[in-house]
Amino acid sequence: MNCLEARKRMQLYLDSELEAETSFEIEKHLETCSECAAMFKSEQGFHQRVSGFLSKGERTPSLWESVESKLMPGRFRVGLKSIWPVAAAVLVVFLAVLWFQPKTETMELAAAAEESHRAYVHRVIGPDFDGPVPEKTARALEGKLDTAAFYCQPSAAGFVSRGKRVCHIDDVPAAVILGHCEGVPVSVMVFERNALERFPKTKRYVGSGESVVCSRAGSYQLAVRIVGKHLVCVIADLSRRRVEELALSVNDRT
Amino acid sequence: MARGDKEKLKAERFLGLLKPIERELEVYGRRLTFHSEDALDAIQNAVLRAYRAFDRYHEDASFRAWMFRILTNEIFALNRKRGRIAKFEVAVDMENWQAIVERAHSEEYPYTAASMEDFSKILDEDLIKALEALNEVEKSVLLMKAVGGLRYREIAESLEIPLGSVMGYLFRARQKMRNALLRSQRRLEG
Ligand SMILES: [Zn+2]
Repeated sequence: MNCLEARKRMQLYLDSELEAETSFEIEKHLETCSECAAMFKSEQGFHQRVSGFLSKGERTPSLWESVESKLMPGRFRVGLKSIWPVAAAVLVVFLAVLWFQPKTETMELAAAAEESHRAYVHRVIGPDFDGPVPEKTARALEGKLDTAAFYCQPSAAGFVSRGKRVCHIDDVPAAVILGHCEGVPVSVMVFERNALERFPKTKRYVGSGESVVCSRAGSYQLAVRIVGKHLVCVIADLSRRRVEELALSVNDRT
Repeated sequence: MARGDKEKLKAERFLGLLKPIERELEVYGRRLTFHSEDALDAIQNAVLRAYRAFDRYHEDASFRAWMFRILTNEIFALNRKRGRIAKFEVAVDMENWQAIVERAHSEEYPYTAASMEDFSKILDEDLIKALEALNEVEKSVLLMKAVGGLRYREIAESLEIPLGSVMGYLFRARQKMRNALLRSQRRLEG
């Protein structure tokens, strides 16, 4: 076996996925070729470091006890009977809380914006284009979202756009501007204003008369604002004041 | 035999197979969920689902691979419920798998001097950051291998993808991890 053949099979060899005969061939090559031997050794070190780290972690006894108890039919029935009064009491309290605190409801958009932003922060998504909206994108959005939405971006100092993309929230298209501010990722999501009809809770908040509505969205801060024909959401792991400022700096380009 | 006894035997047999892999399932679940709080839901749902389907489980199949498959489906469903974007990202990759595999097996297997570097000094936080560079499927394949110790064939069955794409995903996952780690190493040195 030559160097190339050995290296092509490196991953399979290290994952023990090769036939014994082929593994033996590789080992024979490694004995005589110091360059390949060094490469395999380095790669193996990398695999071990990654696997060792990823497989680290404890078993949580309480989690598994709870899961296992649901399997044993006998135990399950007894358990249910004994927790029934507690469950009923919890339900009563829960309903009471729901009844007396209607304000705890969050904007639908907060959850959706959080999802999208988290995906950006974790690099699950990135910008698709920069500059003018590609013709194909514009055509796909025709009648649902005007291209001006892609230009509704903050003008506040410190905000830098990395690029843009389209994203659908409950089938409602949004222009998403992905950027950063003070080294922190920022997502700006722009909808048609009438998208509010699809998000009644958000509509209630936005219609309250405030020029900007702020809310926590998971671990991020969100600011929502109507700008001309558009609904603009700015979300980032920045202070409420900073996110609000960014939202207020979005100009009406239509 | 009374129905209760039969049920009890089933539960005991199931738990006998489950217990040895509980830690691995939990580690896998926590690393693969988009939101860490989803891991517990996913694990609970997966175990109950597996137990209900246990009559259809055949001794000759690997219980480990079977459980990982059910848990993965639960996690993907939860991640999907949380973010429609992740789904899109996966769909794109599935279309490109052939290209990935071809690249992985091409004559220019990209092993250059870069892969000769010493990885023993990598910090855990760099590994966490590097893991974020992977998409859902790449992460799942890498974790099934590293945490579950599954064979390629078992991973292919779990994700219902061809064997070749398991190799491709695994190769790409490691490549992405390596690049991310090299970047953070260079940042430390520079
Ligand atoms: Zn060689």
